[in-house]
Amino acid sequence: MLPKLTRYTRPESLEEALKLLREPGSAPLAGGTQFLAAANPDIEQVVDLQALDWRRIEVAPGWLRLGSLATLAELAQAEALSGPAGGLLRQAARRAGPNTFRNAATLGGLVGARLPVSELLAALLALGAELELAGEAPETVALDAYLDEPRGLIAAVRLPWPQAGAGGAHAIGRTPADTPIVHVTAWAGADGTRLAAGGVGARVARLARAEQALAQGVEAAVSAAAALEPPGDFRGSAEYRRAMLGVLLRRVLRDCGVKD
Amino acid sequence: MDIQLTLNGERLTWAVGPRERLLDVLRREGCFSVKHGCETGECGACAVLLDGQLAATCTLLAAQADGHALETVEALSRPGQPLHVIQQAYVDTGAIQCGYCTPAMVMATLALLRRNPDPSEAEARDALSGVLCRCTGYVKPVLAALRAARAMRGEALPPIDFGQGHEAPPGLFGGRPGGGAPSQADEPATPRGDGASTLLARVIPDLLIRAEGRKSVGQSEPKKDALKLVKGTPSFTADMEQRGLLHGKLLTSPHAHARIRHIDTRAAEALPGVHAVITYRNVPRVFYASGGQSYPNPQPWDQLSFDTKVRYVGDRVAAVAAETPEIAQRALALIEVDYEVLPAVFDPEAAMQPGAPMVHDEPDAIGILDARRNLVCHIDALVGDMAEGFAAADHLFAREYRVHQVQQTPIEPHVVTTWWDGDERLNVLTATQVPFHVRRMLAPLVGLPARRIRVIKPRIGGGFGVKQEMLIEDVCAHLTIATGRPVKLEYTREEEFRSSRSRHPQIIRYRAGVKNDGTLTALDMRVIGNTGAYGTHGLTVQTCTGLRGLSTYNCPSRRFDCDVVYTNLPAPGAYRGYGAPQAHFATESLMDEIAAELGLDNLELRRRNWVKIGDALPMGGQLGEGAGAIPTVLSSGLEQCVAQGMAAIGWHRKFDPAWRAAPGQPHKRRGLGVAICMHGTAIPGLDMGAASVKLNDDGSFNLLVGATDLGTGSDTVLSQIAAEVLGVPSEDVLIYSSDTDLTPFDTGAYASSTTYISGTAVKKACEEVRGQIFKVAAEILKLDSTEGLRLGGRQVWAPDGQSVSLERVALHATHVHNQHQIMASASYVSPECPPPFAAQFVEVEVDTETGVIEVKKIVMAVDCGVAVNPATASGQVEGGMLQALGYGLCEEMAYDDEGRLLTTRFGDYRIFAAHEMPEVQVILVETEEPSGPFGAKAVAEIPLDGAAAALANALYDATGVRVRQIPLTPERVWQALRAAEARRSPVEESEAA
Ligand SMILES: Cc1cc2nc3c(=O)[nH]c(=O)nc-3n(C[C@H](O)[C@H](O)[C@H](O)COP(=O)(O)OP(=O)(O)OC[C@H]3O[C@@H](n4cnc5c(N)ncnc54)[C@H](O)[C@@H]3O)c2cc1C
Ligand code: FES
Ligand code: FES
Repeated sequence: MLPKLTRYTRPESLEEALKLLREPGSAPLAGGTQFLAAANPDIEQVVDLQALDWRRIEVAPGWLRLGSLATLAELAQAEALSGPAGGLLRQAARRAGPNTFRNAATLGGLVGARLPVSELLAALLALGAELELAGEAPETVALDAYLDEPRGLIAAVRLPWPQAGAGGAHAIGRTPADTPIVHVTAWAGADGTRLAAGGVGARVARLARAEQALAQGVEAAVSAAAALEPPGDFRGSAEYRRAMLGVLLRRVLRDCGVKD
Repeated sequence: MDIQLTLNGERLTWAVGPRERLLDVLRREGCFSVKHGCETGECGACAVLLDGQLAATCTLLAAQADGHALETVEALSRPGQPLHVIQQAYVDTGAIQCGYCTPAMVMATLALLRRNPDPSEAEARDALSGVLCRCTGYVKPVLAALRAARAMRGEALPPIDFGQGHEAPPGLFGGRPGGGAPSQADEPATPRGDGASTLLARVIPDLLIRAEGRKSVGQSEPKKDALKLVKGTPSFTADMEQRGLLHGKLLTSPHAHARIRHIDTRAAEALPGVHAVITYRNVPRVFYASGGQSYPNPQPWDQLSFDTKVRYVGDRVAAVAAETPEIAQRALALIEVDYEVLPAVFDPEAAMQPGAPMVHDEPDAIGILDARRNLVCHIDALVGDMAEGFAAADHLFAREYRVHQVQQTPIEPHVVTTWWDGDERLNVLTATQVPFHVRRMLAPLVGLPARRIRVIKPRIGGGFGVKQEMLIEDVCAHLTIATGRPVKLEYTREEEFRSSRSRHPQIIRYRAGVKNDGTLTALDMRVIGNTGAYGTHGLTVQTCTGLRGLSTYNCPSRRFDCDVVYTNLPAPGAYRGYGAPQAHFATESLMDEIAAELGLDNLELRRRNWVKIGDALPMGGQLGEGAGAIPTVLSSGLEQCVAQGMAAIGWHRKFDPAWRAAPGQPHKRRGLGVAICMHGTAIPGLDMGAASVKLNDDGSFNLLVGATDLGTGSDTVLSQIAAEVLGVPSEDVLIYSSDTDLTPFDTGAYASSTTYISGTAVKKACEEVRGQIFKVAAEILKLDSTEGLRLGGRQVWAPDGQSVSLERVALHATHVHNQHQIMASASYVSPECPPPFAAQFVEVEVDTETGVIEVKKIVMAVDCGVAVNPATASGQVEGGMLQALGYGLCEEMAYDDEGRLLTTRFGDYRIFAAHEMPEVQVILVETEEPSGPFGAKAVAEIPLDGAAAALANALYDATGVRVRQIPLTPERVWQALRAAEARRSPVEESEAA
């Protein structure tokens, strides 16, 4: 329940949305899959973004632009997403939750929810995603920076496109479609290899130290990752998560063809 | 605010509040097919089509739907109209059990078939992935979706093969021989667990001479209640509206153990819209046990509607009735409780130590064995002489197994509505498995004579034992008494997880004596059962653990010794299997351990020892709840079950090294596991069912039963039994269950008793009616005697070939001559408790680097006697195995150090969804049980018994590592593999250290 919620608004324009969002106690609402269950007791106004024209998935020269209101189901089916990079994204979107959830959840909401595990967020991080923030002065921030420090309204997620390279993603769960205990995604592209993982920290994040150590080989990357201090819970202890990070790192790097 | 939307083609304007969820508004506006199962978008019961896409409505604000088009199952066929082909497919395939998930499943199928007229099985599974079903194991819903696809493509529909001994046609079921890998080409998100499921196979061993000419018994008839369930017609407790309804809400304890020093309800009472606040201060102090069991309820009686002490996080503190759920919720926050927090204890062994916190220190509780040591009761039983037994052994084994706490999680949470009727009797409409027990148990708590209480059980959205409790009926009744108004109390999913019941965790210590050839000489089973904060079902579940652990195998010396212990965890209760899944995990793991150590074949060892026809079950004499007679095995298809199961799983592969290692994946190991299961059928000498049958003047029959169909299909099965005796199609049998005012008594839906006990009562009542019919028919046909008359095709047939219709018999009896109502009632209690048998097989692939067990296939061959309805019988097994897989692999109630439950939503508490189920195969091995109605015995609980042990045995088969604790989560398996590795290379280990 959202006890203080008294206003529902559905702005038709960005300006209106920004104005409403500046009012105290306001929050943007996308698919609602996380919003209602999380039931933040301080929210007084929801600003439903659905009327904004932010749903398109389009390829521009050098860029892939995913509108923040595109649903995960739309992403999973998007024809524009071709090649290994497209496959990595679509597969991650397909594996996100059951279909009821994919049909409703949006990319903007996915980022806004800042979950500790999400294979799709990891794929976006590995592919070097940036966010277009809407505001008086539109700006672009790297996805990992936003996850560390969220601010502003996400209009779109942007990726350099097309990307040549190879990717890999592995996850461990109690059942095949369970929320992963640990997951790792790798993308070996022209500008190097990017690694991202969930279940090993407060949020899905790039494995910066492992990426750097990769120059010394796969095992060096694995050792660097072992310095992380994952949280433990009923799905898996810190010790298990740390060990699995290593196992999955080796697997994703093998999938990408990164040799020792 | 006003919203405009299109609902099922109709343009509507609704006034909604800014906080209202779409689910609540849809139901308020009369769309009752949209069900509540959670608040987090994770069960799918509330799913509808939003602009053609399946979406959960509990995570949508109603305002978000403004301007959109919604479709619900109500649109597919209005009352009186024929079913949509998708609905028809769900009915025909037996895909509906409790039906609580069915409307959402149907809509999911519709969305799929609109965009993809020819889906693969994997695509069908993905389409259903958002709708959790706790009853079916998804086998038949997937079949229904694929069958509906054919129908919508205009193809001819093949008859559904509910088992003439062969498999479903390829194509219909994906038909991947041997369950090979699915094609990877752009399959939907069924990433890791995508398996075809073979439709039911039935095996009728040659020892059975099938009775000729049965018309109804043995047929997979559609469920009697299928129509309302598939149309989403209001049929469940929460669907029934009452004028002036108030909403109840429970305040529960944030502490695992605390005394309530003071409670101040004034602010809550002053809140406008609040009509009553109840606590220990204004509710009578009457001790009871909440387990819905026969009179007198087993002790201890250690519960109160409200107490001055709370004993687990989630225990009752107070309750409120208010105009809206939201006001009730706000009122809870205004109740001020001053707690004196006490030390808590969660470990049952620690709880028995001197100085441990005393969970029950109240002096007036009744029947606690030793409250100071937190001992609820002690159970022991002995057969033979233990010293002699161990002396005769060549080998001794001592092993400890641990089983955990899991929850039943029916998709419909607990829900009850109470009101005063015009006669000022308290009516209780409730999702219960035990309406008659509820009335009897409720009366003293609310201070009314039982005759002033009427309990009505409508359709139930699954129970699995958790509704064999009087869990919240008393609270709701107190609120109606306090306010004079109708009150509804409905748990949220979080409340259901925190404050209902679960399966008892146990520590099981076995000692076994075995001869060189594998013959058992002694079995000593010591159990510590953790019954949490209250003793409900504590005695009887643990008793059943001993009975089931020490009955499957013959052994001259057997002992059971058990302490049932209080802790500050939520109280477990009855959960399908009732102590047997715990026992089977230990016993069947132990059998494999013995075989491995003695170098014997694991099935041969079992075969040498398992009980055979004619063998006595001596533990039954001591550990039964009923009379003390020693039962014997009268029928057993176990040998056939094993043979069929071995063939279905491909047991020979176990001995093929090439199969056991996955090619190209050195870290993967494959293995096969088995467990033998034996269960009971009803509690002998105690469980009672009754039925009354009345012939109507059109030749149809009213069948009233106290038996409680909770989604299992018992109404259907009982109608088939009646139809068989009465010689009519079962559509002529109008069954009604169950209502304490209208139907005869029945102990309720538990202990696998309905088909066997209530079925026999129905059969007897119908036989009695048949005699009355014959008398009238003889009069009409002018025969001297009723000798040689028989019923068939709605007629009474004389030996000379004359016949008279039942309608004419009825009209004659009611209108023409010697008028009387043809009617009879009968009841049944069984002296026997014939065991059903089963062989459970699983195939796994273990990732030795991560500990992940991937279940490839699960097979159960069950001897349930004659299957009165093979579709519902196999449905029971399919759904039971889903729960059993969860028990073995992934379901677990996890707590923090303060005893707070961490797994309070689906997702955290993981149950299998449609797209991750392994291949499931059920084989019914039908024997004829001489004591059962038409040869039937039970099937409801045995599917829960074997999977956990079979998984642990398969893990051992694959890796050589034995894990004696469930669930077999990735981490637990990984830790065990690592420990084994360290034992194999101690040198490296010490170097590393
Ligand atoms: C059944 C279920 C299964 C799930 N499974 C998965 C899974 O497998 N993988 C996975 O990754 N996640 C999973 N999730 C969680 C999921 O990531 C989030 O619920 C979802 O992505 C949120 O999207 P939404 O559009 O519904 O956002 P909302 O719930 O509407 O919003 C989420 C948050 O983001 C904010 N927000 C929304 N839009 C914007 C925007 N444009 N700019 C800034 N902030 C914004 C909101 O204010 C809110 O705080 C699951 C959730 C459920 C209920
Ligand atoms: S998903 Fe909405 S009620 Fe569970
Ligand atoms: S039939 Fe699906 S939940 Fe009962």
